[in-house]
Amino acid sequence: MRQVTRRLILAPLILWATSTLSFLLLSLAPGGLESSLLHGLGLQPTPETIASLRSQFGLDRPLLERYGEWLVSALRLEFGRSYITGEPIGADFARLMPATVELAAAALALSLAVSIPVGMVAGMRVGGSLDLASRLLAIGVTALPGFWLGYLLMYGFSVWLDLLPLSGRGSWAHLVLPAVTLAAGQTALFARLLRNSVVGELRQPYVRFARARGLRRRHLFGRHVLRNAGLPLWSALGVAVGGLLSGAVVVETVFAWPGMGRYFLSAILTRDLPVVQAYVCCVAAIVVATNLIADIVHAALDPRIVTQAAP
Amino acid sequence: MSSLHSLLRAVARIPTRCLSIPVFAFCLCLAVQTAAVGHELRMAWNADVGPSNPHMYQPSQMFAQDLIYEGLVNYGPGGRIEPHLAESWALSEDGRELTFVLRRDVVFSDGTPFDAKAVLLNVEHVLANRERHAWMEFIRQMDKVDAVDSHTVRFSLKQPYSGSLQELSLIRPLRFLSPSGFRETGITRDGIKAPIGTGRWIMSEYRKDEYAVFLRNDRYWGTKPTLSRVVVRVMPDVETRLLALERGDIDLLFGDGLVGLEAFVRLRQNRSVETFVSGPLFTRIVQLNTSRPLLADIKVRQAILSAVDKDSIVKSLLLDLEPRADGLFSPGVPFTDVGLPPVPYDPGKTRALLEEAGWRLTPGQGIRTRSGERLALTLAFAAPNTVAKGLAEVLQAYLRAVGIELRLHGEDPAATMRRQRAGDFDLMYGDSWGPPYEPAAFINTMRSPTQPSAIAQTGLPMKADIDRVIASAMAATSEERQREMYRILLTTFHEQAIHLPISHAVNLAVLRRDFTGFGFAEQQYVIPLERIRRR
Repeated sequence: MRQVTRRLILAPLILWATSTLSFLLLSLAPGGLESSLLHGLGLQPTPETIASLRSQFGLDRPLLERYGEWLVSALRLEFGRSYITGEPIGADFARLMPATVELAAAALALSLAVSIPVGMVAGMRVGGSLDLASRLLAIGVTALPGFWLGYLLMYGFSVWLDLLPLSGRGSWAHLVLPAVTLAAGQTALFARLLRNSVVGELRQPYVRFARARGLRRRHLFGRHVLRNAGLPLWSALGVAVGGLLSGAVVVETVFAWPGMGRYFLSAILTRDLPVVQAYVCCVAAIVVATNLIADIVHAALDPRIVTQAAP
Repeated sequence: MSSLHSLLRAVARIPTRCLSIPVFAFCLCLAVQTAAVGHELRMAWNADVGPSNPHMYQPSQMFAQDLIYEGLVNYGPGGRIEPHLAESWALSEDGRELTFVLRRDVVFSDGTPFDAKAVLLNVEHVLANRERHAWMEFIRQMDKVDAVDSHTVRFSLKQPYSGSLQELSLIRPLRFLSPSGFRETGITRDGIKAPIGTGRWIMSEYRKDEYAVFLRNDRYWGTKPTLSRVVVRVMPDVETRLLALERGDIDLLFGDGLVGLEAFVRLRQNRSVETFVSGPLFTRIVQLNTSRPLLADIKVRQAILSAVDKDSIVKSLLLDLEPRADGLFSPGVPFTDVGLPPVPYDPGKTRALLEEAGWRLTPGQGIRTRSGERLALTLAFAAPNTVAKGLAEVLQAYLRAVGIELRLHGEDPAATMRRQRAGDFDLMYGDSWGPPYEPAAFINTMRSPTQPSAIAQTGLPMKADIDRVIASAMAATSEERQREMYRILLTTFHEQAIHLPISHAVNLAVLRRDFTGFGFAEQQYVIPLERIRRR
């Protein structure tokens, strides 16, 4: 409980530090804010235009004042307005978030659906054909850049076989290729993690004892081994959410998926700094929250953690 | 007998007729359906089309603005200014008053008449945001605009400006939004209510970051497009666009940034598509900053210009798609064909010039020195520009071969822009602006203290004279005077060796063979969709 309370207190501090750091770093970015605006808005750098931009976007005000204003806006989840479109960033997030959540959730579900049985079987039959295949696949998928896998899938399933749509968002069929691309790396990671965990659990004395007692194999795996072997997966899930969000930047761009990742990449390219700051804060908040939830669940499932953490 | 025979034949025809009616109806339906589908063109764009505000810049995409809105005049072949929404115009003798007579048969796509009142409303909103358009000399010089009658408007200028008509033909910001498209409060800088113009196309559907649908404007005053519908899908990734074209998800890719040079060359072998290369548009230039100590010496500048084999660059880097550039502007830009001799690739001459300037190679050293100082220069360019990056690396190799070290500063575009404004560069890669900005608008920036072209000239002893000649060219009211002023300017730039033109960039397009009739317009971002038709 104390551990959870400590994490709950730390979470806002982490968010504040991340947001402040992103604000400062981007304010001091090479080129300066005026150049970013000129570039992003496609304007010619005349003295009149520069002066008008400084006044319109408040760049003539002290950094601390702008920081305070931004912080208040972030606390209200508004995050100010985009330099480029002039739209409220909070509203853009609300519009784009469902697409990213849909993609990330599909990818996560797919990852778990594939990695849990593969990891279990590979762990139970070490050195077997599935273990070997999953190992090779994990190496291959981890080494393959996400965008490249995306192109291969697009060419194979969309252009060549004409089974699935190439890009965009619409029906469930549009979701398949981007979700598979986004899920690939996580699936490999989860499967190997679970496989190693299962191997470790099977060497535990309680398993030998259970077998000696004549416990049925299905019961032993379902009730004991899987539950214990699945614990590292909970911790990995917390980290995986961050991975999914960063992976979404590339996958959404390749598949023309109208989500937050693409919005973020476009903001980077046009130097739309308020959007970049807001996205960094948003991702930080999601990662902190998911890690916190993962830790709480982990602690609930494995009381040893709470016991070990206690003084 | 014959009547019985006729009767029998008529009876025999009944099943045929009975069958033929549904068959005919089916064929008719199919034809109607095919026509409906056949009149739709799908194209990809790398960014969202934006709010399509006619008076603003990014994120509104120029091609979409051009589909919806029109200008008073049009930039035609050879730089000729043609009537468009204005059927005629007259310039006063002192060059300070430009009077346009508007067409009477034009209505906005919502049915609102296009008249002097609409023109005035639009110009007022543009002038209310004058600072944002300060790069346009026409707007800087505009004193007032008034309506002479319901279909005549008069622009009064503080000083005559020779590029006025060219700037009025630009895609933005002097195009016209229907009075019903304005918000009740504020100015168009802060947004518009709806994108309603007089153009050939109406934006009927828009889903931000996904697609935009344009329907043919059946109220259009001129030749209407054959296509009835154009769907623009947002595809930020170049490979995705190419796969979509191959799969038949899209029919048209337009613009060199949308295709990529290598992919374009590959697509030339693809039988399902037709490829198009435009005439020369803007020029890829490396500017030499005369205000920097090493480049203040004309011999070093001339040496650099002779050290680069542009033909090889065009062949290997630009895949022979762009013509070599020997001058600042593409052939055909008005008043700029002044017969200047090209600078040939001559590394021997380069070495001799550097020796004359005191830069010598010592045995065992690859870089020339003078009094212990190395002949090391910097080249700044925006890193995301792949052509600039490739070009920078090739230039580095050419200059290295004659003993000049070239350090590459490939940076974020905003950082490059700041370097430009601060004059913190020896060499800077950039593009000229292409038609209709050339020559007037582009040359005029050479007077602006924040433009790299102006900063690069500040080390020239005759810079004050150059600025005076630019001022004369801008204020000239006769073609002869303009021609003479541009001749003086271009000759000076050439003699002073301040520009290294590499190639004249072109526009690229790929169209599926289901369609035909494609042709390029004079301006880079004008897509003449009205010419395209289904085969």
